[in-house]
Amino acid sequence: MANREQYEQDILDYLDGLLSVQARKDVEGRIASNADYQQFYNEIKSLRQQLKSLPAVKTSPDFDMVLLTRIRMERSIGKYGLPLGQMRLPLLVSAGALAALLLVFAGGPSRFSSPETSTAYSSEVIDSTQGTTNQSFFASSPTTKNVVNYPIDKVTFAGKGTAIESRNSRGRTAVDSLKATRQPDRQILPVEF
Amino acid sequence: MSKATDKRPSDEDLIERFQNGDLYAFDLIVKRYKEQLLNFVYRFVGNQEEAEDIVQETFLRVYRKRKAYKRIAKFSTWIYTIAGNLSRTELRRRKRRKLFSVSEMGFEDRDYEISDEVYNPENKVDGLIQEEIIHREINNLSPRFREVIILRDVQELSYEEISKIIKVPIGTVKSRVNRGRLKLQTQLKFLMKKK
Repeated sequence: MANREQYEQDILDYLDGLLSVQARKDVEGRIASNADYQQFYNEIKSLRQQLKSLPAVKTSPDFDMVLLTRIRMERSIGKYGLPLGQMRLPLLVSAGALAALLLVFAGGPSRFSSPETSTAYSSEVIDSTQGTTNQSFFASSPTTKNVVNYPIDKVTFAGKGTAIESRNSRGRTAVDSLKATRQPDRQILPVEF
Repeated sequence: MSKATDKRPSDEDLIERFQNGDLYAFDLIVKRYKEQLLNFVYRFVGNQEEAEDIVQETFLRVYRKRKAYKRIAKFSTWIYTIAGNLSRTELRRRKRRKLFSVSEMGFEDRDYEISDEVYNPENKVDGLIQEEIIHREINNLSPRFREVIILRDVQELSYEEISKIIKVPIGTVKSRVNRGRLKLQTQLKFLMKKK
């Protein structure tokens, strides 16, 4: 068995051109006289030919353009002293920090998660059960609208310039509540849907 | 004709010019190496799209690290080492992904398993299927055998150069090449008999 392994090794070296002249002659003689060795020699030779003749793959047509673009990016970033590979982590950290700052300065998570979220942009909110009004965070915003949080089944409409006429548990309408709690010069809130 | 060949700058001349700011030299390096690197990496990782990405990254690293190249080494050895390292990294990444997802894999997803139907010696194996079988069998080899087989028998590099690229002694390279060949010869015996 060891002899066989040695002979296979010799044939592989022979095909690689690594043997001396005398060793080559020796191998050639044994290949010619032994069918097993001849078969092994033919199989390895054929294998090597097939590996050499495997079809070459070609780069895609846009290979150069993509590479050029990547190099241009590399160069432009390089001007600021940061190679592309080292940019990823700092970029992610910066993005995360920016997002956190935005959350804090744009109202904070508690504001977004509170039940009042839907009215966060309204200038005035009327509590239907308490009959009072609250000033919202964006009161001075020019884009805000007046929204009344009243159950729809308790709202009646009185033509143009509709006012709220339903009564709460104390028997007061929203208009009454407003009059009681707000400055007298303020208008009655219209309902907008 | 021979004069024209003599005038062709060597790889080492080109990288030196590039080190001195000649971008055209880098362009020539890309033209000279992109196809042969792609073939090496493609046979190594087994996927052309990934191979192109790796070759792109190889050139980017050459661009980025041009000053790190010293003329004492052959440029081809240097660039093949970069491409080989990136390919091995990709294979390791793929192996990790496979470890995590192997339980979710169906039988049909298991790569590199050639059906008995294809292996049946009675089948008529045309050129394309034959190439596919050889390609798959190369991919079936473990990476350390696969890499040296590709470098030696597909790319036809010398043992010495392969030894420098993969940073192992020449004797180890020879041993790996021969063991790889024997494995392939066993697996592809039926194809060889057809020849």
